[in-house]
Amino acid sequence: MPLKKSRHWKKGTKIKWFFVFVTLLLYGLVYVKAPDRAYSSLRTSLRVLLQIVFPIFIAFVVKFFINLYLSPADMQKMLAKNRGIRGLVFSSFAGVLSMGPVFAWYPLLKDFREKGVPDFYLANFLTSRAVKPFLFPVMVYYFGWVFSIVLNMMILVSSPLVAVLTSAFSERN
Amino acid sequence: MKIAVAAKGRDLDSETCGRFGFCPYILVIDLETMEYEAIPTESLGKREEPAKVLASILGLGVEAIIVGFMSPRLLAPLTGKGFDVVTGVSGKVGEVVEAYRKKKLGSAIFEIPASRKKTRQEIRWALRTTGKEFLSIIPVLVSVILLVGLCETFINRKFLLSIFSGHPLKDSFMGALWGSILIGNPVNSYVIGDMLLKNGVSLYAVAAFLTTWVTVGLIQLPVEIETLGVRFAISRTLASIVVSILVAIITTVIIGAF
Repeated sequence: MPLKKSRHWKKGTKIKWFFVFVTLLLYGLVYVKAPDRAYSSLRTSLRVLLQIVFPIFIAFVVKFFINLYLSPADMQKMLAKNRGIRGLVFSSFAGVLSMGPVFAWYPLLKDFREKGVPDFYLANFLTSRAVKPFLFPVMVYYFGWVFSIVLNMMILVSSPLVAVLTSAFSERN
Repeated sequence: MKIAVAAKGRDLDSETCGRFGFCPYILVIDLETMEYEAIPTESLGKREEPAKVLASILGLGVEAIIVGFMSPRLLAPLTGKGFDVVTGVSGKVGEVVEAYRKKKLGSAIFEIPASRKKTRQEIRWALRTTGKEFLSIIPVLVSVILLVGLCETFINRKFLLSIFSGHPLKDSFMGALWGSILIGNPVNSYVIGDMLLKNGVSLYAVAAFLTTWVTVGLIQLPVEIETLGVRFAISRTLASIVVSILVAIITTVIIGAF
């Protein structure tokens, strides 16, 4: 059985490098037409880049501890075994702490679905993924404490609403 | 039926192993006869290549794998293919196998202890995984920052304000739409959101943009449809867009009160 990275993964990587290529191409074109403006854009970009280094470092430290103390297996357990209010809380928690790109989780969610995990918890898991605790320092840096806390809380509180709407219209209901 | 159990030792009295890829032995056990063979993991593949180890195990005709933890990347190709993968187990191999035979795996006695001292290997693994995750976002993040530089130079405030007029519903909708189309690490959305705010775009638009960037992925929609079904994927996407607009409006109203 082939155990290579999925085609979605490969497609994502191709899109990533294509994006980088397009950006460099744009800079090349701007440089040819208006070198001054290309330098001005580069200076702005460098300023933004330097500003983001420290928040990214903090995000790295937070993510390291999440990776160290919480394994995806813990999240799988939370999602697969709990129902009711406990299931809601655990699927939100698993979503918030889940790592990696979303398409890495789709096969697992499909498996859970086939094993009878209600759509409500799967949708709640996917929406709760919007809250990224390890990126919170970066968000605070850009938008301030109040906005970051309120927006993340609102996303978390509204996730069950998305889940209710999804499960109301999905095929198993 | 043959099953594979990741173990710390060579026999049924040894402990099951926590993390696939770091386990010294794989015990291949015939459930009917309980005959087993202890295979050193090193002989199946390098430690850095757990996928190769897994492929070798499956090549032995194994139908189920029992291990403390397996990464979703390794699990993904196995799900829905008729393989049984049981994770989150601990205890002696013999006890775990017996529990598996009786379909009792998952009961509390086999749960991984909640907290224990982390080994050097686990710290190294966490450091490497985190490093890889951050390295993978750098190319796109740098590109987005470069594009922000270009936008600051070429796109004027007037143009942005012609798209985002300041109307709560219209701005939230436009923000949600752009956030749904664009994908990537959320850090990129913060950089763009910051640029929009600095150019006078309303918080309604930026809040909706940030929310849909992570909850909706129109580009990933075909994958979600393929794995979770058309109605699930479409209804979740539409619900996420509508709810994101509500979230943006409520968030901005709350922020306004401070």
